[in-house]
Amino acid sequence: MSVRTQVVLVILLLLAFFLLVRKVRVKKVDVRYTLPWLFLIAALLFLVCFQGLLDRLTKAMGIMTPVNMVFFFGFVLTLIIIYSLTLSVSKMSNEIRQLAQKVALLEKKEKEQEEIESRHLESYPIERETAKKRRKEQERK
Amino acid sequence: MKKLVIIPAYNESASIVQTVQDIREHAADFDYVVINDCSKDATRELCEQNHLNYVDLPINLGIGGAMQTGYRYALERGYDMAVQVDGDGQHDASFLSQMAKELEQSGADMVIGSRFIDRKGFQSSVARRLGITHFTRLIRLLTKKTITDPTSGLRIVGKKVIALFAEDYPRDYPEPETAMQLLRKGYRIKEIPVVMRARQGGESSIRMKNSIYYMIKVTLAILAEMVRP
Repeated sequence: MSVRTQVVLVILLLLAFFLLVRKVRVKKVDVRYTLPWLFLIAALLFLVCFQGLLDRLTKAMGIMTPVNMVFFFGFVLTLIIIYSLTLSVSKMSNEIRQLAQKVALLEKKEKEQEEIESRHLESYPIERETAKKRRKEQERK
Repeated sequence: MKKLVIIPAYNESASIVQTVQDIREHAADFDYVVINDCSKDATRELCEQNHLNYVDLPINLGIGGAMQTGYRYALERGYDMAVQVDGDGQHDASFLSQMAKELEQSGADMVIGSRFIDRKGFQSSVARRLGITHFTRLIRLLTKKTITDPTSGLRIVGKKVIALFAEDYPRDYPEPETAMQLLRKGYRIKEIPVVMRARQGGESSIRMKNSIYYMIKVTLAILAEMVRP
């Protein structure tokens, strides 16, 4: 791998790192989800900077050029990240569904309760009036 | 025996009131609940104006999520049986008590109303029947049991299955998959002949453009059931 490629890759990786850090600073991204990205950047930086290790790995894998080894490594790590995202999406959509169902059923119960109360109050007109007054007072507060 | 009709409704303003009316007239011993799956049309307003008993989902969950809401409702309120009746008016409420009786007497865990036993009434299109035959064959191959109408939405289940469905129900296109799920777990399914109508309004959840997706997804889901513990 030429020094030029090395420099370009290091610059790109550092750029990615700073973009990520910037998002972490303003809490736009959960630290939990940055871990695999940080690992990816660190691993690639390591490979790009230590030629000897990269050459040995490349040979061991039977790959022709070291730069392909870098790409392959980056690709595998990216796949792992995508896979973990698929898992979290499935989990989240499941959780959202359960939440929506719970909210809907609770709302239903609440509505029924209100109906029972209003029916109860209707049969006691005086109480209904006081209840109305009380509610108005509460609203004023 | 507390019996509940679950009516999942997504954009069914054309037929929802009629569907409920049909149940009140022809299946008077059933309670009902409409699950409004965040419809974009006037379904919710119609439910409110006509004082229908309905649950309003805050986001669209699809037919599976809506049905599961109904099963949870049934579980919370201690119903002994729950039956699905689609909000589009395809299902005739006069078969409900027959299905309930069958469920009670046969001791099965689920009774499906099948269009293809007596072959009367609305028989669906040729393309759809092809798809349905595919599922019937697939399920027979995997479980050695024959379900003539695995896509039928008209299905009644007992207490045990209500609890199961409240916990675990597929998100979309649930019918063939849940039939498979029950058979795999050793539950018993019975079918009785029913007559269905063509839908009275609204739109099927399975249109031409996603019918291929439907076939593949449901086939995969049935196969996936085989690798589940």
